[in-house]
Amino acid sequence: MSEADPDLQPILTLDRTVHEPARLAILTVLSAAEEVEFLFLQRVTGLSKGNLSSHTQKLEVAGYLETVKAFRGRIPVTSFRITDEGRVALKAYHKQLRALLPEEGKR
Amino acid sequence: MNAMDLSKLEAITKDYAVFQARKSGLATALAGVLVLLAMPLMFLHHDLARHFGIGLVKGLALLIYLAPLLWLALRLACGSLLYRGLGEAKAIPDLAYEQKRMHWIFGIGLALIAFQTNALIGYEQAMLGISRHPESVATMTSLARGTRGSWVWVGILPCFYAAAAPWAIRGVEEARAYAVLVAQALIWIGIGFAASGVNYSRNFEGLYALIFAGLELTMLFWAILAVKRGWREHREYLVLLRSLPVEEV
Repeated sequence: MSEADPDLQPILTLDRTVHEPARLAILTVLSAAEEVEFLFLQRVTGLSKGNLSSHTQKLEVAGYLETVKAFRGRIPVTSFRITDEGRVALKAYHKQLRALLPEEGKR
Repeated sequence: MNAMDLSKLEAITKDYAVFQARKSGLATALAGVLVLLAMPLMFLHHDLARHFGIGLVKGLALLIYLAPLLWLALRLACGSLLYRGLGEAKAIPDLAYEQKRMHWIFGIGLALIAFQTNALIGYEQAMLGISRHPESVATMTSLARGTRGSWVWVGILPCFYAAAAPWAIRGVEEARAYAVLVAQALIWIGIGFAASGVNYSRNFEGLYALIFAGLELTMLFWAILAVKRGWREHREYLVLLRSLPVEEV
């Protein structure tokens, strides 16, 4: 699709890192808290461990979240927090998507 | 991934994080029950001693003095056994709310600490025999004096209450049962030692009786509120857990 229809251009410019449903869910959860443990993120999103790890890695590479490694006693605990960049990206995505929706789809 | 409304996802996370910050649903309800149990015991301790012996009353007195710590243990147990299975989620601090409440928290916290200090001084005085009267409300202390470890208690109790002070302030901040329990213990001790060395029956009238009854009613009200709110929070937490999606394979 080299020559895209100009009407479709806004859809094509959506941030694909955020647009993927699992990553969108992850960012939504992280945006609602300061820091979230892997276990809770897994339960609330319903993702498997492997899937969640893969998506969080992609988001980390994009600079949208940061991983916090700590120990509770001797047990390693992995938590995540959304970065400022991630918050901006999520907000921009919402705004962009809302603009693309037909009137009856907007809330 | 199971389909879930994004706003619902956000709301669940916020609710969960707020709950995690307190981790006290069932513990709050139990705190209220503790207060409701402790109050009649305080009233009935003379009769209990007469019918069941002084040993039982000494045990009850100790339980009531240690009520705040007992509740701390309950809260920790509830937190680790019931409310940590899904991992932590830290709530975003609500700065506006904290600023708004700061003066109240600070004021009430200071008042509690002042009361606590007064109670402790009274306790130490009574323990050391500076002021005591057989008919005073400080009978509990007089009973404790008879124990072998009374000197140990002179040293240990202030530490217990000093350790509980930050929790008392936190309880006030959250308008939660812990404040009720701490206040309950402190008020009882405070009244006991304020009245130490004076004739109980002669002074238990007029304004004093009115204040006393007012405090009793307040504690009763807080305790019932704690049971109600704690239980509701616990139920809400269970509903929240049920609303979470099942992990995909």
